[in-house]
Amino acid sequence: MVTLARQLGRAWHAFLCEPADVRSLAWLRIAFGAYLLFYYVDLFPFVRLHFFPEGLLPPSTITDFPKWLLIRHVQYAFLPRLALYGLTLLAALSLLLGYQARVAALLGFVLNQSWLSMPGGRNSGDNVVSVLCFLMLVAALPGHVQAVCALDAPKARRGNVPYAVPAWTRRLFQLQLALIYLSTGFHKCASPVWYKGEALYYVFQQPVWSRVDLSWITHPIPIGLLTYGTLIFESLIFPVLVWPKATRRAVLLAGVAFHLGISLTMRVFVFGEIMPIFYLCFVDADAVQSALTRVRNRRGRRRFVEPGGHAQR
Amino acid sequence: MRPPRASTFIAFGVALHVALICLATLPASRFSQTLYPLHAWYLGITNQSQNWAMYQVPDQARADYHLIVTFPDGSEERPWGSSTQMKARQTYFLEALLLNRNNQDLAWRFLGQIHDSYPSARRPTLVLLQRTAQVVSPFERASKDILGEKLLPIELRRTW
Repeated sequence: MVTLARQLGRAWHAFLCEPADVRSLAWLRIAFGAYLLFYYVDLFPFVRLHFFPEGLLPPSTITDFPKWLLIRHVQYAFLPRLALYGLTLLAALSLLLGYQARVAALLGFVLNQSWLSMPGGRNSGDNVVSVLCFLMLVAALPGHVQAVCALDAPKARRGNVPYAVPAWTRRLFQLQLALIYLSTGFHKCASPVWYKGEALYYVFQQPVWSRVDLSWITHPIPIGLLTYGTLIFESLIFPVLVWPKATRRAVLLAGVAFHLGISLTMRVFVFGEIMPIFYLCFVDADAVQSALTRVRNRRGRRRFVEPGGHAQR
Repeated sequence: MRPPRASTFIAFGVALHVALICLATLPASRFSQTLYPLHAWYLGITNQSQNWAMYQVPDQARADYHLIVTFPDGSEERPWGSSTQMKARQTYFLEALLLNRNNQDLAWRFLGQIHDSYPSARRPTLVLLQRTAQVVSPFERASKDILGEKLLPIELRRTW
């Protein structure tokens, strides 16, 4: 028993501390920073509705909010609140550029807590953004997310160059992502409409939440296939098959197609964009780099084709 | 060989983090309620809501959300448009105001804010927030008629 525990401990240690290429984390930082800019601009009407003067949450109504929320300590006037919002955009931009990334990640985390303390209109996609803000802070403190492709990185590593750090920060993102799918699949298994393969029928009957009218799909075969397909993907395929290298690429592509499908047919906000960005923590940087090089070479070859059709060597 | 102390600390810390967020994803039960104090403080400080039960119970009624203002001359207007014209977050917000009892004060202030957003010469006398819904027939009966009886509307109105 003690030996087994020791072996498990060593395997866990190796899983977290083996060297990992940091490029995918850097890409995740860049994509997340860019997304945060879009996200907060899109959120501004709600930020204004809640937190600006004449809004829904004047200071007297947020006395039960946690004391550490920055919004509680910023004067309830237009300019200070606008400055705080501006600082949020600046933090997102800094994260994108990898400039003062530790400060940017800390500000991003603290300000996200404030803006998303609004009691209504926050969905699971917003929760994913909050979780990513926290994990980005954890990964920025030891300098992992800004080790390459960042203004903070040493000059030789400012470009997209391979560089290894202990894997634990990347693992935190990966474990969280797998847990989201596992958990949502687990909860769905407990629901009779998912168990009986008919949940998507009820989902398709909601025109308010649909982009495309799918209410005509009532046949048990497509409904059953889509319901069970979703359930199996979320509870089994993603959380299990994303780990082995051999199946990872197919699972990630299937996941992108899954979220693209949801985004095209349903009015689900934030979730459809943030999940494919989250996938970057699983991306194999070498594989992407070699695919990009292949595309670049093919383009280069095409550019050198002479009018007669002979390629220059 | 024994791993260095810093990496042992990291391995322990990550294991603890994963354990706490896993506990937080458990469904509501006596078991999870007993364990709640173990993880609630951590998730609160780190702002991590780990509730991922999206679409666990899809709405079995076809709902629609309305935000309607009525002027003294009896004319009506929808300041956010119809529910399909609203941004998804706006519809979600209206749903949260109507269906979550904890948001009643917020909803009251929201109706007041909609009222005040009009110029004083053209202020509405009524602001109505309403959810109308019609039951979706059980899947076994879907081939015959999809929609069943109409449900009583849930609404919140404020008058001036």
